[in-house]
Formats: sequence, structure tokens, C-alpha cells
Amino acid sequence: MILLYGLIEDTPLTMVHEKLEKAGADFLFLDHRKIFDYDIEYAFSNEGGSKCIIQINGARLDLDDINVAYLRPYNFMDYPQMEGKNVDDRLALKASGFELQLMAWFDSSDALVINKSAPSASNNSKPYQLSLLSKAGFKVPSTYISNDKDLVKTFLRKNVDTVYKSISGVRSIVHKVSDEHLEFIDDVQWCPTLFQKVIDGTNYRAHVFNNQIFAVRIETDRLDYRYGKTSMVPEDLPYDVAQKCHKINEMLGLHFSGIDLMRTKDDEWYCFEVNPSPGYSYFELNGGQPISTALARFLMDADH
Amino acid sequence: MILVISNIANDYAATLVDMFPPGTAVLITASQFHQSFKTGINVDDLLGSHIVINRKAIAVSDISGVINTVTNFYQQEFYYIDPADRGYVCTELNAFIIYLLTELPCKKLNPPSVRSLTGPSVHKIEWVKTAHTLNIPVWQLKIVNGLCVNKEQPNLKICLCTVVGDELTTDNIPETVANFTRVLQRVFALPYMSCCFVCDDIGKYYLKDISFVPDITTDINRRAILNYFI
Repeated sequence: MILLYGLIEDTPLTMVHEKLEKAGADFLFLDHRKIFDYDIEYAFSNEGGSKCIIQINGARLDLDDINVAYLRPYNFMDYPQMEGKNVDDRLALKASGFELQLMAWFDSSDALVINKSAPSASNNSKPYQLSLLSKAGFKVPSTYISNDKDLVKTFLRKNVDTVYKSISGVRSIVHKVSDEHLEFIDDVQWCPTLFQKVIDGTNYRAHVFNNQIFAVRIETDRLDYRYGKTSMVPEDLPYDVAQKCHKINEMLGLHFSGIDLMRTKDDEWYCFEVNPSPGYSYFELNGGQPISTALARFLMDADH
Repeated sequence: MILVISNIANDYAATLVDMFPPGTAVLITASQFHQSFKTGINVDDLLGSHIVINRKAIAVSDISGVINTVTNFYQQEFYYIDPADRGYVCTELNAFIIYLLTELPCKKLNPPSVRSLTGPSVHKIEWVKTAHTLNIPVWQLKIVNGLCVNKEQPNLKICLCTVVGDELTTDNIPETVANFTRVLQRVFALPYMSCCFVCDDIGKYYLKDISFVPDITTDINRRAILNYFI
């Protein structure tokens, strides 16, 4: 059986839900919004091994029956039930315990999971992931991390076109470093900051399955295309770039990812980031590629 | 140079640093990071970069070892940061240190993983499965919504077995327990591991817990760690 775990109003989940339903797939949707109503129980004995059951309003779901899982959990602290409550509230502790235990089960299970938590966590450290991208054969932008204002100034003098962004997976809008930012350069002493040389070229986004890639070329009027006037055109990646995309997925242990690429005027391909839980619907709706259909097919094939 | 990464409240970390020859080990904590640690690192040339720790410049290539007693830094350690920004700074520093430790080509006790600054940070459910697959008896376990709900049985004999490199730091460990611990150490590929076993009425040992985070509170462990690096 296939498990979908997330919010029904989350477009990537909705789209695959629709495709699975249409195909008559054997799947179950576990609504993340009802996380406070669920209970999860794990038991181990040397004779019987491990067993994990979820109780959903009196019904029991044996997690051994799940062969494939597509997980898009959200931050339950944003739900109305948590309004005015802290992370150490009884209900919050129960929900975080549920989530941790569910992920631990899937991390140790033989089920195909999109995606397990350790591979997903590579996105929590950009330099860590850049280093892996480099090992997969990608060119990566020159990147500098510092908490020393004098060293930062020297780096910026040598690299005029530079952006700064978070080191971690915390979402940040990419900005070019300007004179206005230099007024606050002393603040780097409080927190190491990541600076990256700007690469000029055309953005590409590739959604990568084990054996299939959907890529779009992105035309935009902004440095960060997510926040600008943007159009997308489907385009095949060169063979060697596609191979590198598959290689990084394999190195990270991901079954589905969204990879951000840049093609320069000299036809060099840079890679910025691998997203282990891609919001592919934005690209499907703008680029017209059947990513959700492919995802549903991928999940169904893995279930058989 | 050996980097000892710890928490400012762990006095044993300073003791451990002092056990190394003078000037060959330094302590790094989140609470003193802004004062003691300055760096400018080229991600494409880490080994050509430098770090200044306690005003002493160290080439990254001269770092010969890391001892890490914390799985991650906590917001509370960043007392010098505005409370509204502590969460962000904490997340950023964890992300930076994970990268740095992963890329350092030196001995690490324990090596970091993508979810932990030291060791693999695997959930109990995961190592139980590993141990069971290896035919190591595991003490019965029940977890409900993240909480262990086993009924504790009083008067059970507990046996703690810690291994640092090839050295067992506890005397009179039953051979079975030592072998189980070494097998787990090999499978997880870690220089440090501490396993807690319980013994039933008929003298059979069961794995009850594993710690992947170096415990430096005992002199014997600290000496074993010193031996591992020197």
C-alpha cells in the first residue's frame, strides 16, 4: 500500500493524490492536520521483532503494510490547535513524539520513502551539500563562509558580484551584497555568514526520479526566480548533466528531488542546491510537464 | 591540533584539553564562539583556509583530530545574541560545524553525520533493528508517541561497556557483552561507543541502550580518548 502523509491543500500532495485516485491505486492519505488525534505504538521483542501501529480514531494501520510512502509533513505549531501554546505543551509533545517515531520507523524500514530523513537533512547545510555536489562532478559557485568582518571585506573586494544566504536550510531570499549591506558588515561577527559568487546564466530546474528527469529552462527578471516575473520552458538536459543529477540523487539516497542548475554563456553547468522535498507543482503548472503523473506512476510501480 | 567541542557547562572538557601536551588541543563552545573562533573558509579550498582560535591562527590542514561531546548546539547557549535571533544563529552554526567536521580529513571521535555533530544520531527504533539483525539480544521495548513506556524491572543487573578505538574502558566486562559492543562499533563504524546491557535471572545479556556521544566525565574514558589520539 502507498501512504501519502501531509496536507490535502498542499498542491504537490493534492496533485499526486488525484493521479493515484484516478489510476485506482491502493493508497491511504494520512492527514497531517489531524496529527493530534493519532497515536503511534512501537513494540519490539526478540521473538516477534519490530511492530509499529498507528491508531486513527479506533482504526489500526499496521505500518508493515506500507510499501511506499510520500511524506510532506508540515510544522504543526502553525495549526490552530497550537495557538498560544509552546513547544513543550502536552499536545505539542505528543505530536512531535508521533512524528519522530513515524520517521524513525520509515528510516529503518525497507519501504521506499520519498524521502527518508537522513538524505533529506543534507539540505540543512548548504556547504555540506555543495561539497557533495562537487564530488558528484558538478561545478559549484565559489563560496566563502566567515565571521570576520575584515576577511569578508577582502573577499567582497575581490568578488564584486556576490550574494549572501543562509548556511542552513532556513529559507532566505537571495540578495546581492550592496553598499547598503556593507554598513552592517560588522554583524558577521555574531554569526558565520555565507557569501557566494554570482554566476551569470540561465536557470534550470530538474525534477529527478531514479530513472527519469523533467527539466525546465527558466526565464526571469529577478536574481531569485521564485520572487520575480518568471516563465518556464521544458528542455532536455545534456546527457552528462543528467547523469550527474542521477549520481547526486544516488549519493544522497534520494528517490525524488528538485535540483537547481545554472547554464552559463560558455555552456558550463553549475549546481546550486538539491531539494529533497520539492514543491514540484509550481514547475508543473508553469512548465506543463506531467511530474505528478510520473510521481504517481513511480509510487505505484514501487508498490508492486 | 585537536579540537574539543563541548558545552561550557561541561567542566570535564577543559580537563580533557589540559591532558594533551600544552598548545595541542583547544576547546570550542557555542557560548564563547563569537570571541574565540574567527574564520574565513573557502568551501572550494577548505584545507587552504585558516581558523583563529583564542587568537592563535591554525591552518585547517593542521587540525589532526576532533573530540565532540555534543550532538548539536542549543539556542540557550547563545546568550550573547538577541533572543529573537538565537534560533537562527543556532541553526546556522550547527549547519556550519556539520560541514566543517564532515570535511576535515582527520580522526574524529565521533565522526559527525548530517543530523548530528557527533555520531549517527539514529533513533532507538533504528539501532534496535540493526542489533536484532546481528542476532544481538535486545531488551523488550515499547514506545508510544515517542515515549518509552516499558515497565522498569527493579534489581536487574546493569552492565555498561564503553569502547574507545580498540580500548575497553571498563574492567571485568563479560566476554559476550564486550563482543556485542565491538560488533556494534564495527557495524556503525565509530571509534567511540557505549552500550548498556541488562542481565536476566539466567545470566543472559540484553542490549538496552546505546550512546554514540563520547562521555568524558570519567578519568578512564578521558585517558582512553587521549590514547586514541596520541
